[in-house]
Amino acid sequence: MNGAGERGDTVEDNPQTPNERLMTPLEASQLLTDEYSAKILLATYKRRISAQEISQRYGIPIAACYRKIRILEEAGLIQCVDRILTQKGKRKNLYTSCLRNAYIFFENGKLRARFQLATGAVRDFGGDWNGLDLLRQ
Amino acid sequence: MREKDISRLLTDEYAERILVATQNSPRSVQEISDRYDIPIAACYRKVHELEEAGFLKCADIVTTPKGKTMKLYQSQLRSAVLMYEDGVFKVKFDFDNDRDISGKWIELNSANGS
Repeated sequence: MNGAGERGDTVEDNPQTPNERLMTPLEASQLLTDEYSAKILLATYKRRISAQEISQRYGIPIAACYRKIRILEEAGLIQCVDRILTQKGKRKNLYTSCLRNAYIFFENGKLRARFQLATGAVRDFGGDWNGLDLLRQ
Repeated sequence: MREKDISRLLTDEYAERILVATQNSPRSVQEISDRYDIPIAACYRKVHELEEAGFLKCADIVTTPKGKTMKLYQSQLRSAVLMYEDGVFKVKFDFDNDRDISGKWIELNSANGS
């Protein structure tokens, strides 16, 4: 289901910057269904917030919070928009979500995912996209 | 099991393979484990989780040549959609059999609360 052929297809459909590792539809979906990742996406939605604040407000252990933020940042779903100086003189990164909409479909034993980013860019995982009718039902 | 856990189950690697394996014909846990390369203990555990969540149903019980009974499982899930729009997560499941949550959008959590 996550075979090499599909990966190849996605490359052709979606040219991406070379430093971005290509995710399988399963990996892409897991970014949304993982408890901490989902919370971070919600915490950063139309907001600028630090890892420390996310950790405290959403009850995510700080190390896990930093790790998940890095994974989401690498996937291009959140970005660091500012580095502010705290009262103690430490640097603090502020993050905001780049993800506007996301859809994950499981149908006929196949998993597909689509991310719509704030920039208007659309990224599909798992091949052709004809699942929108599923949404409207 | 809560809807949130159910949607997470869907993107579990083994669970996804099990759902694919049992899509068209009933299969035993042993068969799924062999064919889809899932460790047998993990396979039993996931099959039970999926059964509890209503994704799998025991379709048949057969007796092996050695005289052991073996359960055959079949996927009940026709399709599933997880959607994230306007800071809100929603899921929808469609099952082969009639279930109360079948075909309904279920809101998980949003950026505004919970």
